Amino acid sequence: MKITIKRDETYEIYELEDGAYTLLEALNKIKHEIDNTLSFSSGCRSSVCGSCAMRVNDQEVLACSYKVQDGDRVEPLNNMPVIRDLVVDMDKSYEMNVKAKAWISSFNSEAVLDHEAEKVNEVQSDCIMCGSCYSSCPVYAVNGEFLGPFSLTRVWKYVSDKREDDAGEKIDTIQTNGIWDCTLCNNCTVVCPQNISSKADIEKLRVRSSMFGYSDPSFGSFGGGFDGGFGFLAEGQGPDGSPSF
Amino acid sequence: MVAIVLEGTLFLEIVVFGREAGKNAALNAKDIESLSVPVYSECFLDNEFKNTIDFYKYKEKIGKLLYNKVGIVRKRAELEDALDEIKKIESLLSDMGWSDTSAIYNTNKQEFLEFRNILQVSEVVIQSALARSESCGAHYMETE
Repeated sequence: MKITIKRDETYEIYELEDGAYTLLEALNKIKHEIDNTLSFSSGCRSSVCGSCAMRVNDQEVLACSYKVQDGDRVEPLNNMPVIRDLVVDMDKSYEMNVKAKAWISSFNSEAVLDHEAEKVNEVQSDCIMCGSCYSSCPVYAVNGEFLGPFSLTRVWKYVSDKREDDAGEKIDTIQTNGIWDCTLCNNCTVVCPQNISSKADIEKLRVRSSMFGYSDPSFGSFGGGFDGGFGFLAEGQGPDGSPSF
Repeated sequence: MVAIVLEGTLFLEIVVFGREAGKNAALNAKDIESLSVPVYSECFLDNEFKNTIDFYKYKEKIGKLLYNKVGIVRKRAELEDALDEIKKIESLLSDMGWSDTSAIYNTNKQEFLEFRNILQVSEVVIQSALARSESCGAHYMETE
């Protein structure tokens, strides 16, 4: 079989023997037998560590779980700087967890975590921060300040946790460049190797936000909202005197 | 699943018993003669490497060698065989090397350094196993 790998600006084609093996095995084979200079990162080889996320035919996968096929085109993750070949710099997406304050900030020691409470955010706890969701996110692609899928999933994890005493603070943090910027396109859900739906978590955060008195800010820009659209303003002007659309 | 459960419980054992074992090992080490381990004073990478032998093949060989001869049930003769083999590979080290010369994310060079470490650790493991003739814990010696 033949596979194509993006290496910096060029694409290189490698000929491999046919058979059923993972992309990671194929990459190791190339590195050991054909070209020692091929660079990629990997760790556990069992879909647990999240180091080997990359794109195959424009779809994010973990190299260690994806079975390589003839004609595959392998590229590094999108939306983050490439360090070399298939290795990307994930620092910025990791920083989003800090920006989103994705941790327990006010610990409620009275809360008892029973099995039912454990189930509430069990799926969200499975995140391995492989970065596939950031790579597939069209909002993060155009707005580098967008908190992004795995950070918001993590915020939901703590907002829904009984042991968090001050969920309001978290809700406040995610109002700008956060939940309302998401287009609900669902790409993150499709690519997640851990079956987490950041899109669904963002929707839950929106509901929780409205309970805290927030609303979708983009509704306000439709002709000035509900109270500005009755002709009190001059034709062609918005509430602040600027041209309205 | 079993692996995760094992990992979960073993982690606690490492923390609890590992601490005790470590303390006792440190105390005992004072009275026990040390095995010889090569000490490098100069930078290993400054040596000359011909890079004519592929170290990745030998890395796989060592994996199989340790699995087969330095595994769960150990025999003195097999351990000695394995030690000979490791020493033979060690003598080839200067004929091995790395071909990636990039300074950025050079995993080829890194893996070569790790290969050197693998050789050293394997040697120490085998020497230690040979030095302890009675079975103890995970070290099971079969009498011949």
